[in-house]
Amino acid sequence: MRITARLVAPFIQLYGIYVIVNGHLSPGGGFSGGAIFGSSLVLVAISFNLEAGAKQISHHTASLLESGGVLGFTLTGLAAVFFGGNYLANRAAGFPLGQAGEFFSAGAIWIITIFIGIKVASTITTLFYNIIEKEQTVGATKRTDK
Amino acid sequence: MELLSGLINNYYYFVAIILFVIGTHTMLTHSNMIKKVIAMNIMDASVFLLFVAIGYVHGGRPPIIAGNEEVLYVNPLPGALILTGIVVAVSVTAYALSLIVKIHRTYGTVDCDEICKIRGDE
Amino acid sequence: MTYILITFLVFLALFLRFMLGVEVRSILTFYLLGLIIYLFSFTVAEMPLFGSIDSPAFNEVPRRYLESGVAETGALNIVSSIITDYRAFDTLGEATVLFAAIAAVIATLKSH
Repeated sequence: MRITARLVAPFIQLYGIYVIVNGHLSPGGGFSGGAIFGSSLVLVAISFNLEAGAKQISHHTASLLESGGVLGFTLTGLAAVFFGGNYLANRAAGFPLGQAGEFFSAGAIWIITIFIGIKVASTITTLFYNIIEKEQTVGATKRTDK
Repeated sequence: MELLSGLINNYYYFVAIILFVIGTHTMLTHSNMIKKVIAMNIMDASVFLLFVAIGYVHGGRPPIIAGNEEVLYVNPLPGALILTGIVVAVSVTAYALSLIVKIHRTYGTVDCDEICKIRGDE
Repeated sequence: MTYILITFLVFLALFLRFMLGVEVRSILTFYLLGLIIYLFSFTVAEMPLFGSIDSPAFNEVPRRYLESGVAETGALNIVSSIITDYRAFDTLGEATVLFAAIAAVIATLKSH
């Protein structure tokens, strides 16, 4: 089980990144791709103990990524206001649309999808860590492991 | 009867109602708290099924445009609205489970009747 | 017709209570849920037919999204263009809900 989890986890992450980045061309989008990416980290944390999972993405990094996701979404909307359109506008604000079907089409859709994917992945990881960890009493002699 | 023929045509909505009633009965009857959270998830799933089944068109394709032909597409709007609903359901489930963990640390059990007995004796 | 049904239901409840020892509360729960199924079935039978092209949910708004979605946004996936371009404000609200839920879980479970 441990060998299988160690072997399969990079492929799951690659599939999750593929679903996120191709959000505007094929079914998927930000939410499902983020869930797939978060599931790979949960798989590593279940099959090994929790310390190996925390070494992949630590708590501090996960909380930073999650706040960065929401901030990126808001700043993209504000960038549309700076370019002269409404809040969170796409074509009226001058984002380059490109050819439909290309990889770098659809100006603001691609950026918003990536930020949502990062946010959902770090959400699932943080939820799993917080619910599974045993409590740590501060300063007492009885100190259970993480 | 008209009732039976209408039900047999719209059987997706009827299954959604049956799922909702199953979830309600489980939530009212069983006293284990984790079963109540699972029943809430079943009720959420039934509402999502009802909404997405409204947007189906006979002979339609998934709403991903490929080529320039004139084909019939399925209504994309209910599915796009339900994505937000699914995320809200996941958030509520996560918060309910964290509250159950906290209750288990305090009382030592996750059974509603036993917690009432413990609190009634104090 | 309804009087026969009510008499049958009352006799069934009495039989279950006194012969088989089922509690009154669970019998009443089943009757209430059966009434809910019966009332909702009438609503389901009156809804527009499943899968018809002229249902009220397929008015001019999804037709506009399907016809001019590619030209206005440039994305081939119509559902993605709805949730990130036409109705991006709802997605912002939903990201906020996720963030608030995570903050609530962390605040509840970190027992420092």
